[in-house]
Amino acid sequence: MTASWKGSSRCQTSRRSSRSAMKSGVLPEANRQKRTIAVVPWKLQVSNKDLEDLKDRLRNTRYGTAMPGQNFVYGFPADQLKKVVDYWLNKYDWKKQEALINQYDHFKTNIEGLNIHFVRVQPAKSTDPKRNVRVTPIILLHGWPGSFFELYKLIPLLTTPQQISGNDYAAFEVIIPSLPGYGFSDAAQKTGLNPPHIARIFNKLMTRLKLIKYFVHGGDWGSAVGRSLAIMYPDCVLGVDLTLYGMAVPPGPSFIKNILYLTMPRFLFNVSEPHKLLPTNFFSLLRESGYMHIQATKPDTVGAALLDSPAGLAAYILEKFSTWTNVDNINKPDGALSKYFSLDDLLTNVMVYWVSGSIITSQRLYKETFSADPNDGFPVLVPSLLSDFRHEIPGANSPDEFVRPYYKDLITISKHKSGGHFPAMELPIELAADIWALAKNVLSRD
Amino acid sequence: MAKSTTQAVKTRCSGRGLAFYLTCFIVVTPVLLCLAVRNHECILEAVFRRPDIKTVFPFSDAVWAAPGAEPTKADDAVVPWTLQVLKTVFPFGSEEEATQPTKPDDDAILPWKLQVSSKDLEDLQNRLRRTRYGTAMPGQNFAYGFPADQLKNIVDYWLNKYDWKKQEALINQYDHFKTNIEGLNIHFVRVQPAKSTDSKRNIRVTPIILLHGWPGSFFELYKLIPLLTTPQQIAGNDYAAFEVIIPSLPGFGFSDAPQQPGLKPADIARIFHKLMTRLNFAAYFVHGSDWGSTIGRYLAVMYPEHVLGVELTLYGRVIPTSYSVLHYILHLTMPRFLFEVSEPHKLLLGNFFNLMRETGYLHIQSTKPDTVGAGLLDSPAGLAGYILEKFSTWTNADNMNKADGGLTEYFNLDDLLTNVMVYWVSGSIITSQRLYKETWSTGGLSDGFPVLVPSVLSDFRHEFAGNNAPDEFVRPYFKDLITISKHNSGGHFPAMERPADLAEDIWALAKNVLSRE
Repeated sequence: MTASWKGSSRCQTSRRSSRSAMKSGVLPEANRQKRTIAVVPWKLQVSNKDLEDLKDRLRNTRYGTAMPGQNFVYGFPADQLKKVVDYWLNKYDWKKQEALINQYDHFKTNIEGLNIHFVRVQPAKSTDPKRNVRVTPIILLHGWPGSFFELYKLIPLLTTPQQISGNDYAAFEVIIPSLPGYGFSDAAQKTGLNPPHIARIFNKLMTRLKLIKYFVHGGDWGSAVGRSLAIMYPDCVLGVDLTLYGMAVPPGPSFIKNILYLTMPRFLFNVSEPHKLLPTNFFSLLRESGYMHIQATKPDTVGAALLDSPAGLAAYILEKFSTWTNVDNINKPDGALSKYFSLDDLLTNVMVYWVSGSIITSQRLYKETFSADPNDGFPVLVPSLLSDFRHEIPGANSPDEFVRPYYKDLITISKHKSGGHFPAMELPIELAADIWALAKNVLSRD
Repeated sequence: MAKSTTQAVKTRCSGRGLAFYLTCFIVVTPVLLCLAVRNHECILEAVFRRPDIKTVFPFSDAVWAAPGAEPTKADDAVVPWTLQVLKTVFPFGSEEEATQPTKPDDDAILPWKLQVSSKDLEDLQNRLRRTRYGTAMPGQNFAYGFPADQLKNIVDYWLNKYDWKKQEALINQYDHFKTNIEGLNIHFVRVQPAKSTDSKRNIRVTPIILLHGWPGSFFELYKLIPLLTTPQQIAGNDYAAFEVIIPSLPGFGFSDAPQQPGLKPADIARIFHKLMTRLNFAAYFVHGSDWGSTIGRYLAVMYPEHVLGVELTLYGRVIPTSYSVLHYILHLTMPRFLFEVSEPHKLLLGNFFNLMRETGYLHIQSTKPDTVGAGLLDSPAGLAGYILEKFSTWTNADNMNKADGGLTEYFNLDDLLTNVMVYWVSGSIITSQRLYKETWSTGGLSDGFPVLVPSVLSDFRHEFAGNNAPDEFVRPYFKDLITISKHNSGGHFPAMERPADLAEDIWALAKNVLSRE
């Protein structure tokens, strides 16, 4: 049965022309049979009018006053926000970033009533006739507050062929979609669109592109979607690499295991990485999950201002790039943002949210997921590799002993001594190495 | 023959002894257990002794200006800081500038008036006109929060029908002042009762401080003013009328915000007591709701010789959370004849999912106020959506399923928007949210100190579930509890929704106390 995520009411965004209304899938019931499965080329083109509007808003930003000496403890402080906005207004070159985004081919295609945006990059043709380059597809899945752009640095690393054995090489054909409700993909106008549904939509995407079997990489929500893909379509998924993988463990068993590891004597229950246990991280989890709580309950309320104030949006999003990269960043005056990332990259990710006006719909994913029955506890049967970055949000990756039972063909849990929640932007080479380790293992099995 | 009889007697006696004691034990233990459950309050009080109030409550002085700022003067220590910020960053002028003709001393109380410049009003209108809206999830009403279609209606009214000049005049109809306490300019409204023309009446004027909360303001309490300043009869020719003081909490409205961490409700109580003292009120009544209820309760606990009586809504917080949990477990596990609760629907844990659904704002404000507030400071429509969602959901739980959130059913849009304007023109949303962090990041409110002064608790039926505890739980914490006044309607904002009912409770308190002399 084909689901349709568009309600019968018209979308109310002001800039839609009738032609794009057709493309967006708001079609009368009778035309559903003729709904196109076309894959349509797309390019990001932000009008000068919108760029002017953005600059006006930035120039007129009203700021609070940071609590002196508190750095990021109260959240994103006003003095740092001024600096970010100043850069955004005076140094950030959007045209250059837009060209960067458009350097790869973008497309949109309508699935279940939603226009799904994705980037598609094929490896360059090999000039060396001796090499036998096998091109294998991979879908890269972002999360919140990331975007397709967050994963861009992986593209050259994955599309460049690497040796499997002898003259056998492999290269990835990279597909990077925007999740529904994020970036340039449409948002659902019906309730209930959560990771397993998104997985079904993305499997349809890959099938439509005739990429029947494919690898999967996912982080944050992309990890939940990726795991769902592996569980729902084991015949299609060649292998899956995940960061933020602790969610595979159902809360009940996780809770009990945490208690056991804390209370039982070491000779009975010894965990290799006690810093990952939930009770150890209780207060920092509580401190960091306010956004999750409000987005899972009142996304439209918290998002209204973020849709209207670019500075507010930047503060809200960049706070995560600070705190989730390393918990110590909370005590640094600039949140250590410039230490780990370039401001251009950070702002371009924010621009994806701003120009698409997708912040509210991106936040709704939390409500759709946490109000639904959890579907955790199902094991992943396909070959998998877990990327464990040392400074991921504390408590988000469970100890190895907890997760192994849920990954039946676990090649390795790859330990990284550095790196936080956004490894594709922070340590793309390390992350690509994990993806290649997965691929080489799987492709050698043939 | 005699030996065996003695032995037989001995054996019978020992056997009966063991069975006897065993029976005693089996019979007595449940009785003891029942007694323990029935009297668990006394036992808990004996076991968990409260430490000395002086060590728990912050009686000693403090300064809240930025570190390294000049010593306090009435409009000096904190104001230069904020004036600087206002001048260079805010697009509108400082309301401070218009009112300080002379250099005041420490204790000066300076008249103040709200005057928003045309430039700032233009800026507000521009922002409203260019609001970017999302698309509401069809058919979900307020289930996802404040929906975009309703927000458009609000903004449309705000732009085209709302008359700020009229509202500003309404605000200024009473006298406003500012005075510097602990480095913060504290704003307050002061209304004296009109002089009586009837010479036979003996009108005693008694002060009362009205304390607002979040996302309320001094303005939220305005409808109480005429009801409290109009004299009411105590007995015979003895009448009373209130002299009403309504401050803005530090960090809210037109009071300064602290520039150092740590300003908690008990500190605010100390600051407000200093305010009343500075106004030469040796004794005064207190009304409080939301944060004001906690602050009011602390005033009563910290300064019982000065607080004539206290009237509170949202009073469930007096109970330490550990006790709440214990009460809930007893209610669930014990038989009714042993442990009965008159209003089980009020139990905190029983409302777990409701509370989870409604406390996202509390969670994020208690951890990252500056993050969530940045956009709210910059987008008036966003600010309105954020604040008005509470006026919808906290007034009645059913409002979530209404297309307009029931807002116009319970309030008029002018009042709602004027309250939002207080947050907007003062630019105080972030600092108001910091109060949550100051309180909840450092362990919260549970202290359980009883209120000894005369008190009235106002129980509005649709106050958010879990905020008011069953009567039996709160009585032990109010030693001179005149009544728990039950209202069949009314939610979290009774001063705006049902001012006559709330004023009646305040008068019930005052009449009782004033009759005692």
